[in-house]
Amino acid sequence: MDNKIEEIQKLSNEDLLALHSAITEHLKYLDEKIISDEEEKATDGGDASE
Amino acid sequence: MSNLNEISVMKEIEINKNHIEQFPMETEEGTKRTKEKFHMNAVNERNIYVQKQHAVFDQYRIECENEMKKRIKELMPQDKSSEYENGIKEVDELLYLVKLNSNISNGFKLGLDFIVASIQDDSSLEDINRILKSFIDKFQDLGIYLSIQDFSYTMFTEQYMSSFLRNSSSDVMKDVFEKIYFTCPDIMMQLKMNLIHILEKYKSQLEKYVVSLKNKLFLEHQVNDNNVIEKYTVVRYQSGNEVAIDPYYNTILFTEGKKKISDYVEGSPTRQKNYNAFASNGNYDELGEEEKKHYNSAVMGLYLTLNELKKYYHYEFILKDLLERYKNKDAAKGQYATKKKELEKEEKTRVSLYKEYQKASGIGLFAKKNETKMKNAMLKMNEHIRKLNTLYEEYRDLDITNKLNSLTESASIYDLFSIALTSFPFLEKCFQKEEIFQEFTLEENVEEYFKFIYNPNNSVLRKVNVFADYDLVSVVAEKYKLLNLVVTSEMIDPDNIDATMESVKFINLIQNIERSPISLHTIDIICQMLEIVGKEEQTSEMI
Repeated sequence: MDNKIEEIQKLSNEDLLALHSAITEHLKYLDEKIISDEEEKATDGGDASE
Repeated sequence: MSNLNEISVMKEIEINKNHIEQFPMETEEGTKRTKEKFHMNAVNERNIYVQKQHAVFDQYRIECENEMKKRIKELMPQDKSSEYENGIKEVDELLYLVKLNSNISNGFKLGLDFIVASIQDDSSLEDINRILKSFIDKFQDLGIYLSIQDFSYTMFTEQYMSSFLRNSSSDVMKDVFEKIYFTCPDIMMQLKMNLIHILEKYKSQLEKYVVSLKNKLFLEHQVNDNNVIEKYTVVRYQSGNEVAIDPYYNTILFTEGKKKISDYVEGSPTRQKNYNAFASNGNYDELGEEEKKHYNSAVMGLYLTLNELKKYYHYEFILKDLLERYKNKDAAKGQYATKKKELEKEEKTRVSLYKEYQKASGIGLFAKKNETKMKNAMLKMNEHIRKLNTLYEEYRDLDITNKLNSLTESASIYDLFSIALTSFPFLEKCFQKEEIFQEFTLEENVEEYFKFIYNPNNSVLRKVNVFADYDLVSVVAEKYKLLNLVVTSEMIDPDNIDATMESVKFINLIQNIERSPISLHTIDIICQMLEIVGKEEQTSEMI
């Protein structure tokens, strides 16, 4: 983590903004990747109907 | 920008994504139940992994935002308001010195004219008492202690002021006023005329005071009669310029949301539209480097000229009034002298009427009180004061017209505007007549007018002859046409000048930022970072 902080501190303003944007995007991606119980049930239900 | 993908966090994002995408969620082997079990385990496992990664990347986000907060503090220019205070104070002080040195009345210079002018038809009794007190106090500040003798303009003013000077309570003053009002409904007008009379009575003392004050302040500011205006204009220009290019003030325009940074950065359609509006070829970006230099210099001048022109429209009614009067200036010369003599004669009659009243009141040697004669003198005085008031109004009206005789045929617009300053009653009438000035006090209006007259950037008004038969708008438009800018008369006429000024102001702000230690790019970075870390949080931390 310390290395990452050091790296962040060395970034130019533009890169810092771009990195923040990329991280925010990735966090959204991760949020979407979490499969909830409801989603699982919905999938099961879908299978059953087939 | 360096290669963003080389940053380890970016690489980690890629690895992380690949890992998630390739996570085995299904199996082909085993029974249906085994397959379902495998899937359920895979979902759980992947969820645990994703959540763990979420926490990791959220920490990176926090680190980025902490770094941004640090950067904003570093990039944000310092607020130098306190440093500018001295400069602004000096401008105000020098403006006062310009006033002291100008051809305006001493009552105007000392603020006494404003006190007198504040007595209006709709003034309440409380207003009147407050005004009288401030007039007396002001004189006291000048070393002149007014007594009841100064308020014996009429028997009514004397009666009112003798109670007032005894510091009577407001209830007593109300009773006194009501008692006088039924015998003299013009008591407010008479009190006002009394104050004007006092200004005349102490004319030489006021002159002495002003001269001594002027000498003292001139010495302190190291100026003299010949260079005070120049010093004021230089200091005002410097102070104005300092503020115009101040990086903090220009940055907060964007961070506080008054302007949108995306409109101002290069390539923005709004920026292009504003720049193209004045470009002779209709496209600023296509101009050569030299042409761009000329364009920017001309737009800078246009900004000042349009400000000047806008103010000119604001005060044009004064100019029109004076030009109308100019036609009668020759006749006014004789009429003014006659009116002055007439006034002197009628003032003597007033004094006689007052003496007649005193005698009838039993005051003086061998005098015997006679109620009928007292009443007669009071009636005559009321009538006479009304006549005097009309005469004074006519006299003041002739005074400003007569002053126009001092103008030469080569006088500029500025010269004519300056003449207005020499007559306080004229200015007072001008600002009371026009509705747009009603939301400000007379003092504020006159102060603004004074600043307009002595604005260091007024170049057109100082150069254009006021009697020449040409249109000022065309003169300005022609000037900028010669400088290769698209400025038509229509663009700067009273109906369209505001819209044109908006475009010029837009370019002017960019020019000011380009002349300052901060760039639009840096302001853009600050705005973007503030957008992320939250303005409120940042502002409270910065305080």
